[in-house]
Amino acid sequence: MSYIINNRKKNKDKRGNLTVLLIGVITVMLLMTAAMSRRMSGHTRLLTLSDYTQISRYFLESYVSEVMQHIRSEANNPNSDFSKLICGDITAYKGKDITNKINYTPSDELGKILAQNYKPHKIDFLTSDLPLKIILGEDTEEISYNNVVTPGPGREKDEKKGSILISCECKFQKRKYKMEVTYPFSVVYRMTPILKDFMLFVDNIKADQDCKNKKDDLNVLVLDENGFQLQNENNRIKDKIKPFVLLQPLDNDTDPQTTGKVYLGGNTNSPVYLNLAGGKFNSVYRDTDFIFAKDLDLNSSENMNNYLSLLPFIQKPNGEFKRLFSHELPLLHYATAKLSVMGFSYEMKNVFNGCTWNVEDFLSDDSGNDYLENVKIKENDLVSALTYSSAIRLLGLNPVNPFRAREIYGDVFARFIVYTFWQPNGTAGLPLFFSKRRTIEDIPEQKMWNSRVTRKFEIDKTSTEYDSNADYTLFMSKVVSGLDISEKGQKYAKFLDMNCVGTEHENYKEENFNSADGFKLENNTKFYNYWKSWFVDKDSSDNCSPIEKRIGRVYDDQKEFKEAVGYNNEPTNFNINGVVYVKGDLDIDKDLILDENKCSGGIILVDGKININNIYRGEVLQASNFLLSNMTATKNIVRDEWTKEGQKSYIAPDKIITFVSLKGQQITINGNILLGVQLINLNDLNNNEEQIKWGENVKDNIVFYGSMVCNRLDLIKKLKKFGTTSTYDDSIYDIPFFIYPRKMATSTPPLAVQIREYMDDYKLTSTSEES
Amino acid sequence: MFNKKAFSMIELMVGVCIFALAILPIVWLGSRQTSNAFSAGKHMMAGQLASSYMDDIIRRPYKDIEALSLPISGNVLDSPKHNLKNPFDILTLRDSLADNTSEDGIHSPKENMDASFRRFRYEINKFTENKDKKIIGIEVTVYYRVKENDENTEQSVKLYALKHGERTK
Repeated sequence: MSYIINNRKKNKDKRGNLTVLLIGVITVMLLMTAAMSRRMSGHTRLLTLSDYTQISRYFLESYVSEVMQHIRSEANNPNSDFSKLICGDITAYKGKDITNKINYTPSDELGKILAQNYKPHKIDFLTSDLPLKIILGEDTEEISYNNVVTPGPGREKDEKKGSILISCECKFQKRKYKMEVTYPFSVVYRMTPILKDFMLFVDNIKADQDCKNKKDDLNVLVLDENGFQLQNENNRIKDKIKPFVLLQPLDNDTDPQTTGKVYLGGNTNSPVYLNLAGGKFNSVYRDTDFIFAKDLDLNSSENMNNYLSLLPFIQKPNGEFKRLFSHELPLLHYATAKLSVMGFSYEMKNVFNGCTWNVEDFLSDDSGNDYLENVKIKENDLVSALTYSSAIRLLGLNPVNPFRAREIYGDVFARFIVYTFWQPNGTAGLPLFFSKRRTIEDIPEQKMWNSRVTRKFEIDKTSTEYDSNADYTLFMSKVVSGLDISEKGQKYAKFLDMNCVGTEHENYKEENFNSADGFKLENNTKFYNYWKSWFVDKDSSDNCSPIEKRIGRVYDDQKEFKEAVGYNNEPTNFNINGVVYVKGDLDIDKDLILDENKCSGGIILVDGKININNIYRGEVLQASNFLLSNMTATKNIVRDEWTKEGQKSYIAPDKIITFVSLKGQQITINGNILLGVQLINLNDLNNNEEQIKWGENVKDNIVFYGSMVCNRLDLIKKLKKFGTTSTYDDSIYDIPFFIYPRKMATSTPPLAVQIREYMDDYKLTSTSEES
Repeated sequence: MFNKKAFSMIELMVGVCIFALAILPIVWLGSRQTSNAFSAGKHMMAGQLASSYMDDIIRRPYKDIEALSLPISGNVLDSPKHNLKNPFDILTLRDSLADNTSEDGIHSPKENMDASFRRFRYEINKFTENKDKKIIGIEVTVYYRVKENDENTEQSVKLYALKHGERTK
């Protein structure tokens, strides 16, 4: 009995073991299943999250891209709130939300992303609790000038750099995604400070005229009495040449700021002498007539005879500006000395014909004058030496009438001739010839007719015009240029307008530089080292030159550049908008017919060669219409082209295009007409190559409405080129047409807003809504 | 005579049946997981490929995208069309791999890569365009097969983005 009970008990235990075993196995299986299921679910969630993140990322990037597109379009629109804000003083806005200045509304296209098949999920954005934010970075600051220039009053905060932070968010599948992107920006001038005020800037004119080495490629023009270019005169230049004349504005503008400044200089103290051109005196004097081929009038042979016969000197009408070309010096005993100022001219050859006195009587002893000495050696006679006038005419064709002011910087001196004849009462009269041997005590004298009485050259010092220090040596006949006058004589030389620098007659220096926008050079910066200071020298604090700090975009090659500025589409587009850098050569092989609305100016820095064709403004013009010999027609063209609805509409400063050859490679102009450009090539390679030249294909009249900046002029090469482009005759009136775009000298230089193409910071974050 | 300590045949059969019933879902789950993991890998790869295509398109200048004749489609292992860049330089990568099958029958890395990507294809299209506002909407789809030889198992990953050109006023 007990056996049976025990067996049952054992069997019962076995059955229990199996059950436990099965339960155990099933439990393990269930656990495994649960774990695997959980793992799969995690896998799926991870995948889903990755998808959501990617979808949200592209949505938010599209969103940012659209906001940036809008900001970019507003940035250089002067009427937009954003442009007004960013171009002004933004100190108060640092770190602040400026979304309300942007005026952005999302496009339908952005909405279409949302409408795409993310169903059943839905992206939300721009909900009230997730707004778009555009914040001006705290890092915004002024761009420094490396102590090269001092900005004008009120212009200190014009140029600046900083960043714009765009923050936008969206909700997708119960998660919030937030994108924060930073774009650096800068606000810079569209033209180069200081240089923009110059019509012509040559910082090593010594290459064209070196008095010490007796090189003179500036005073090479020989004109006959009618202003015609003489060829082969003494074989100095065998080719047909035309002068380089910097014309004055066509509409009687006399503002010295807007006529364009000139700098001819260098790092040595070698002065530059330009022989003022003479020419036959024109008895018909017309205020409206631009065209005179001379700086100073020369008396004709007949008049010279009259002069020597003591008939009254020819006195110019004074007009608004007193410019005397002859002068009566009051002497004691009611005598006068007559001083006549004359320019260099071929007419000197025969002006003394039949006269009692000749040139030698006045000037033969002027041995102190290097110029006369040098040219005399070349020409074998004194008179021929006096025929070469300057081929670069800084004050236009006729600086006298109507008088135009133009500031000329550098040690530039006009050179002219003073003939002094004096005749006390009762004497025959004598030339007051130059002699270095004469001393102040050795006063020249003449005996009166039939008398033992002598009359000395004694200045009437009671005259209010002269001070007690004046003596006769100041008034001796001589070739005069700025440095030939003693310090004491400067005051008396003034009436001769010897430096032709407006009404002040002083050499303009860096410290006197005066521009409409108020920019000045810092003490250590000179015009001759401006290139180095602005384009090369780096600031120790940030290891950048001033120009480097201003570059907004770098193009790897010209193709990329042309695409970006719109040149590839149509020749009417050319949007620079700031300072850009182009690697390699830049060949603008098509004419640019720039539409006012599709062109925005700026500075193009090129590290290779530059070739440019015609640059028009809105419409193709014919170079043959720009003729000084037909000034009325020319003025009409200019007026028609640049006047709109009765308002003067000159090429606006924000449309001016500056080309800079950074490495000094040649700039070649292959078109006849350039309107509104500045060409800068200041990195001299000293390779005897013209730094800025007109190409072989340029055969018609040259029209250059712009500014030229280089180290050396290579004037002879240019004059020969100009000689081949004249249409009609050898008249000096048929010359290239150089004018300064007056709006370049604006008092409020235009700014460009540059927003970098690529972002600086990029942050995408995601948070679960539950958290 | 009977060994009372052993399980009966019936007990054993019942046990095996129960075990089999219990193991089946596990085996199914395991198999499903492997398949899913494989599929998830492909899905992820498709996402990366789509992203790569999208980035390649979006980085281009607006003008270039405007000039593209869309839609463009093809296999990811095809030579690039319209200057499109193959994602991750996939062809260069493929060409750099060894292509000789080893003696013991193991596939070469190149063969493995071909096998992995041969069913991946892409399609790039414009889903919207506004020429005035200079906006183009780009849609990139990358298709893949969950089962290599079953075209009915084809799935896709789609991405949408906008490209904006420069507008000047």
